[in-house]
Amino acid sequence: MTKPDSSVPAMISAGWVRPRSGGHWTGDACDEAPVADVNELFTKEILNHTNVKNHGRFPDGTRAVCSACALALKGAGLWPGDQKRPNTGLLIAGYDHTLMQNCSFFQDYIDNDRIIARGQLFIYTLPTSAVAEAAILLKAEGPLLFEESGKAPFANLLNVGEGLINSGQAERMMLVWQNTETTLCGLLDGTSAGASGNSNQHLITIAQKWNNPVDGIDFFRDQTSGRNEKERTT
Amino acid sequence: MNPLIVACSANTPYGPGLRKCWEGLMAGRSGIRSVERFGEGQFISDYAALVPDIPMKTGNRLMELLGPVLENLPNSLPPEIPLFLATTTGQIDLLEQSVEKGSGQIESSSPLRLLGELRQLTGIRGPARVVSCACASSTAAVARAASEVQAGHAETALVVGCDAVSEFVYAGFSTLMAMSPQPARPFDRDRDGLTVGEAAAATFVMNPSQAGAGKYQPLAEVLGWGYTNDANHMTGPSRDGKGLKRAIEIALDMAACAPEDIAFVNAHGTGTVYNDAMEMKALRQVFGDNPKPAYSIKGGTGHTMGAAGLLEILLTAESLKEAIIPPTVGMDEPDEQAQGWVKTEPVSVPANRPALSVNSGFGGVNVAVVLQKTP
Repeated sequence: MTKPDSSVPAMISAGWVRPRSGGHWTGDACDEAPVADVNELFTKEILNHTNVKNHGRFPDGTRAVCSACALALKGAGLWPGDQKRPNTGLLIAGYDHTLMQNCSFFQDYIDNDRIIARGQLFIYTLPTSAVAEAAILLKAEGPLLFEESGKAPFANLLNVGEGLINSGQAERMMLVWQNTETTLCGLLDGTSAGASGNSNQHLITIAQKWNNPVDGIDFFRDQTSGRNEKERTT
Repeated sequence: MNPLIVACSANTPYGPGLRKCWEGLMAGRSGIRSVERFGEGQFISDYAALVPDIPMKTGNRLMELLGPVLENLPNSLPPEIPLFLATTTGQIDLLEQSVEKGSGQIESSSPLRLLGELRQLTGIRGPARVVSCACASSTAAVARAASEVQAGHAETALVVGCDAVSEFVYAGFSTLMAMSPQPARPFDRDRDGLTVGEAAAATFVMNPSQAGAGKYQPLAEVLGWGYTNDANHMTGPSRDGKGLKRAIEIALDMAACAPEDIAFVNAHGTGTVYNDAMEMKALRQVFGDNPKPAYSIKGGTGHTMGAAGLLEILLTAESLKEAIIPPTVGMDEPDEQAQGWVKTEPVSVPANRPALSVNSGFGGVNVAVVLQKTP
């Protein structure tokens, strides 16, 4: 696949999941609605639109990643939909849920006297497990990768996502940042329809200062009201 | 100007040094052994490919694996270069100990901690990242480092790939019925699973202008790479091989290579029924019915998980240098689909043409890299 033109990828939408709400942003509009928990959101945003095999075994962190990605696509008008996305990839940063899954798997194995381990726990012990599940249900067939620096994770995801799009590896990248409570997904678009012609450098610079996904959610929410305009242009 | 793979260091089931691994594979020897079981577990297999001379329960096995690798790296590089660490489970034995003792110190097993320790041990102060995508992790890390160098964001990057055999991994693969009760037989008609292995490896990815002074020995040129995902199943590959085919095509496109230019393929070849069948389907779709010389190292090294891709890239560079590929150790009779591709003996290959190294992993990830001998 060769990149069709020299347009610059742009962040066209974002979706997020908090303990009691889910929301999305699309440049000039922002919507966030309360939910009882991530299961309600997962049902509303995913199960109501598509069949998902074995979703009962999904850990909450995986449900949150799937829901945040679906919300980001929804914001861009790309979800619901049954089409394959051969040129859409997923990047994730955040290791908290993987640690919890690792612990669950091994604790369960110890509790069973080391006789038997459970495969349905083991398959969620990789840093890419949650985005792999999201890729399956959203039919995203582009690059799938965990990359974390420990410092400025979302800024790093933006850089990596831009690089993957600019080198022709993908047309769109979903950038997922997750901690124990919050999941944020930004949709980076390098197609002629989505590309802005402006660099994401201002967003990367701002994202350097974010300490957790909530900072990113606040930024996207504030974008709608223009509160970050000054910061955005400096 | 294409990035170069420059200098390397490895610790494998054949012992320290890439050359030992190469010589073992060329001689058709396997590093897979019957091992003492962990705890009282009832596993499918007694076999693993362990790095020799490290006690089974050492407390922090991964650091023991990494020690000789880091000691043998050139130490004259500038400290501000980026570091890419590829691993699937990192220091998972620290999590095992934490769970067993109930100490709650599970964060000690985070790959970010390992990244911090590596920065200290290497003295590298540049940007450091953990890269992970299951069993294609270190292939992806090489591709990421090459991207950074090619884009001009770095002149040189260090890539480290590592994973250790642990009770955690052994129990997990066993419960998924992915392990063979015998040593793995990649591409064999009677293959029935993988053997877990462990290794650590490191290399530098460098701008040619940095390597040009003759200070460092270039091993190969990185011409192209491609990443895709099957989006099909959490543990099994797509049966049609189309995801891997796409990754290879993206890598060939970037490398400006036609399929007929490729001299040989260093295959993923885990020894599981489904992986090897998928891989042959992908290779046949790309290369047609004219077999390319191909091989898998995993009947010798075991499946070294997060280290596998880097180890295979380094061995591909060795094959390009020597103009010969090793046999597929462990295979007796090739599967019908693999006949003419994989051999039980070493095969001479043209050294002046590019080669392909591919890896796939859980979640459906595929990464392909095209390499060429340096002039």
